[in-house]
Amino acid sequence: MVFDKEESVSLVPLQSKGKPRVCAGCNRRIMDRFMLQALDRYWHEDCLKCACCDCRLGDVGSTLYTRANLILCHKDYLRLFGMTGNCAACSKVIPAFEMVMRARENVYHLDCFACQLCSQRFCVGDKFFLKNNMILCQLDYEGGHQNGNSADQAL
Amino acid sequence: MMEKLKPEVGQLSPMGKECKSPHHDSMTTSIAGRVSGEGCEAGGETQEAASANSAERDRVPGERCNGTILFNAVTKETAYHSEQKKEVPVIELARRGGLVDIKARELTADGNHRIQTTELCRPPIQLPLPSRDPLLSETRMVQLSQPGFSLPARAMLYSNFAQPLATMNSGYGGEMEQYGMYPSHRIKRRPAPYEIEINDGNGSQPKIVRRIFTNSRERWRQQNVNGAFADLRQLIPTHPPDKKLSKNEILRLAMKYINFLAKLLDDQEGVLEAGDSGGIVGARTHEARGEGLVREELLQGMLSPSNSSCGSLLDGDGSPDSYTDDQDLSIGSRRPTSRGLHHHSGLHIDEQNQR
Repeated sequence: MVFDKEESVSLVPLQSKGKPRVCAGCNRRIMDRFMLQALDRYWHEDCLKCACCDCRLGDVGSTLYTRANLILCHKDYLRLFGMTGNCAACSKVIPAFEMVMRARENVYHLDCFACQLCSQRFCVGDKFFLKNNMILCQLDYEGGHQNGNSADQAL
Repeated sequence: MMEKLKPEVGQLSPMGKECKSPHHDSMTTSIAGRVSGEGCEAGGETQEAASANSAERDRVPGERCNGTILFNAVTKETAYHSEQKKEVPVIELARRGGLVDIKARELTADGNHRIQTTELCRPPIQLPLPSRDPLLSETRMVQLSQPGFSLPARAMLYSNFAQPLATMNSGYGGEMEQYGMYPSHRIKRRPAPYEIEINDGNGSQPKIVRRIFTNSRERWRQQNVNGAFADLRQLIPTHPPDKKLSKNEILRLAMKYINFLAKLLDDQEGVLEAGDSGGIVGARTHEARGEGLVREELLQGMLSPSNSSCGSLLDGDGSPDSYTDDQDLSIGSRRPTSRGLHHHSGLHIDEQNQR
């Protein structure tokens, strides 16, 4: 059973001594100055690509995901196999790779995370309040009523 | 035929006087005056009396006028014969020398009758009545062509003096002179056939309307298609994500992605059917029940090794993170099952394994 793994990708220089490595992507010798090492194999920089978006994994980041005999980048791995949910503000689906904001049990699109009365987004350090499962900025929350509703500190 | 002209301020008022005269000669004058009047009224009579004007214009097909003539005609309002001559004989088209041959020229064959015929001609072609001859004084009658003769009327529209008339046409651009009496000879754009139609009152107005409607409908359709392409573009994984793709590329990459997903789905089912070692003993028996259960088993299979990572719940730290955290690495199911359920089944599997 192939489990999902985060693999490391490392850039290694070509060793002058020793036999030249064979790329696992094209089965040719690697004559470049640098090559990638991942999954206990060696690759041309051009050969280690995401199966989904075709990005060069050496450029994108240092982790590689493998699943179902596929080599994927982080984003595509989540796109294909991640869990999706619904935004608590707009009720639309949130793809697995997208950045989200969380508040207690609710999840929001990054764009949806704004005061639901005045539509102002928050800055780092701003306080936001949850009232009736609605996100409110400080002004709107205090403008409503002064009850001791649950208030969460943002960021 | 003798419609009331709306006297234009200043320039046209003398003409207006002429027009109202019931004299026979003034009939032509009125027509001429109308022609000039239309030249002067910068599109003011777009709707009202437009039909009347067009009717008039239809009957004055062959007149040759240009701005200078008109101008002269206006200033010499008293000598309305000359005015007639200047205005009635020929109507020039917009461009200097860009006159259109009109069938009305055939009317000149009746030159013996000394009938003042109105026609559109190129300048080299001499009419029996030269346009600028101020001395003709014989009775003139405007040769009325058949009403269907709209082409000269159209040509009139684009004569220099009639430039402001073009404002009636929505399709016409706005490079017109302000003063109808000093029309420019520099019409910059050759009018398209559908634009030459003036408001005859009969069939041309709907044509313009239809054309405009067709244009905007086509534009709406194009925007619809472009919107659909944009929506499809959002679903295609690329690197970088905002890379510009042509329509062709969008379609081809979409095909590629669909095939990739279909193949992935087949492979996933294949993996499950092949069976896994260890706890999922009943995997093969579940095959018949369909895909949903297949996914469930995949889920169970995946959960066992990563059970430990499922323990942590999400806490509201408020910072943006990927929707699926590390604990979701093993979750292959696309069904929105709750984490509790995953946890539970994971435990269940573990128990089975331990037996």
